[in-house]
Amino acid sequence: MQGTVLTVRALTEQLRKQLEGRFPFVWVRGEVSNLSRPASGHVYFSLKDSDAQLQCVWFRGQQGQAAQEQSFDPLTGEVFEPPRPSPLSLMRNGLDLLCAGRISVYPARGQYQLVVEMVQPAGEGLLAQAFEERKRQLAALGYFALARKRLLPWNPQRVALITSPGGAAVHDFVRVAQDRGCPAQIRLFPVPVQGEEAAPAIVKALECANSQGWAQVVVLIRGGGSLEDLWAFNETALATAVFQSALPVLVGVGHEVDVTLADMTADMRAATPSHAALLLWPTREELRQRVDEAEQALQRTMLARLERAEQSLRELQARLYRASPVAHQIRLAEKCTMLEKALRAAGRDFLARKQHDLTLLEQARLAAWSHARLSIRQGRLDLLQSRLGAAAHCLLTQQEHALQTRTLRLTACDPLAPLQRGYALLRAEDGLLLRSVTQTRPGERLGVRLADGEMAVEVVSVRS
Amino acid sequence: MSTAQKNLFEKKMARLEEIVRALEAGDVPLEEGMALYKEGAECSRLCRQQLDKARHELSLWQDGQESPFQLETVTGEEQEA
Repeated sequence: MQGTVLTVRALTEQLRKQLEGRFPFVWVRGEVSNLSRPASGHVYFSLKDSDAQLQCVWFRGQQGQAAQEQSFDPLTGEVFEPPRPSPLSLMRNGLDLLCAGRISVYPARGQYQLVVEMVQPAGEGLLAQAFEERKRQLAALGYFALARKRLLPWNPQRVALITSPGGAAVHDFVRVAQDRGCPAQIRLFPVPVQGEEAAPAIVKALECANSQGWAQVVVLIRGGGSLEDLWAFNETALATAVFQSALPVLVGVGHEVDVTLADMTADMRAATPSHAALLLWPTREELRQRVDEAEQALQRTMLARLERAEQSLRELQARLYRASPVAHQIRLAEKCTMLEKALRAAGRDFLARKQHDLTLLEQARLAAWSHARLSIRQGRLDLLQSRLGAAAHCLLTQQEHALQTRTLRLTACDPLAPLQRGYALLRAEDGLLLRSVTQTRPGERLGVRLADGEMAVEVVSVRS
Repeated sequence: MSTAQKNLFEKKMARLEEIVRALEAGDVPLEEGMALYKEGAECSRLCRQQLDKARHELSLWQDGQESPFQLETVTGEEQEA
């Protein structure tokens, strides 16, 4: 082979043969990362542990059994009851995987790789395991306690930015920041954001920013990457530096789904570097609105102040005017007019009252001497008169009647009355009436009274 | 941008709010109130100006020294990063 110049292809081909001959079938265990499953159905990934990586390809044609549920372990023959999910469906980054296959070379990239023929999950991924373990430890130390999370300053003016100056993260961050907040100073602390030296460098930058004390807030950002890429942000030392930072810390690492221990320890977590800028500064519009509102308040209060001044001026003017001699005179004149009016009114009232009294008296008089009252009295008089007449008449009649009765009785007693009926009265010469024959003697002369006259007779004989 | 201007917005904004509060309290003599109003209007104008021309200032802190930093110079590089 010496002295011969090989083409790349020829060398690669020789290497391939060597490798394939040496490793026709191997078992290898590692953690899955950079998993990619394009539409072709082939599965590409790396197997890694803490020190090395191995590119793997699992062709669709080799997947056969692995795409179905497993009812037994292909290595041990152990029967699974119930069957386990297919290894293909379990494939994910961070999975601790046992792979069987041959080592080959992919000439187009000059890469050796494992052509996988069989896979078997081998428990949780190592990094993931480490992550979970650290998470538990830090949680126990109170790193993630909500109570210790501080508020970020609103619209900060001085920001310490810890990131790689060449990364996409700083670009995204500044691009979003340019439309927000009012002019701020961003002091960039350049650090590597992956690899072994990343965590110590970031810790140093955090300490530096804190010892300067210049910034109001520390922002730690990094673009997206695999779990290994972001591993620096899961280092305990970094989480501790974030935890101990006197300045509030905002961490935005990777994409929305990536959560690192630094994220969890930070006072605030941003989903992405752009999001960090969004969280840090309000929009210009919001700030303009704040200025507008303050300006309106200024106008309003100044107007109110002027109105108050004008009002008190008016009041003072009015009071001054009231106190002036002219106003006094006017007030006196007004008082005078008022009294005059009152006097007039009182006079009118007095007259009216008297007039009224007079009318009342007149009415009383008329009432006392009215025709009606006269006629009533006349009536009574007439009545009495008629009663008098009647009484007189009655009395007369009674008297007349009594007279008549007496007359009749008298007439009945008239001694001459029987004379009518033929009786006669005899009188002696001495004039006495004869009641017995003994009172006379013959020869004596007697007067005889008849009804229509008297005559004289002589007694011839007397017999008894 | 000089240091005096760096925090201009927040300072002027705070001053503006202070002036509004003073005017609202109402015990400021009129002449003083007018002067405050003028100052407030100026604050508001400056704040607006700040927002209109606002650019964040980037600097790089390296080896204990601060130097101006232009993001644009690394734009091409970072796209590949």
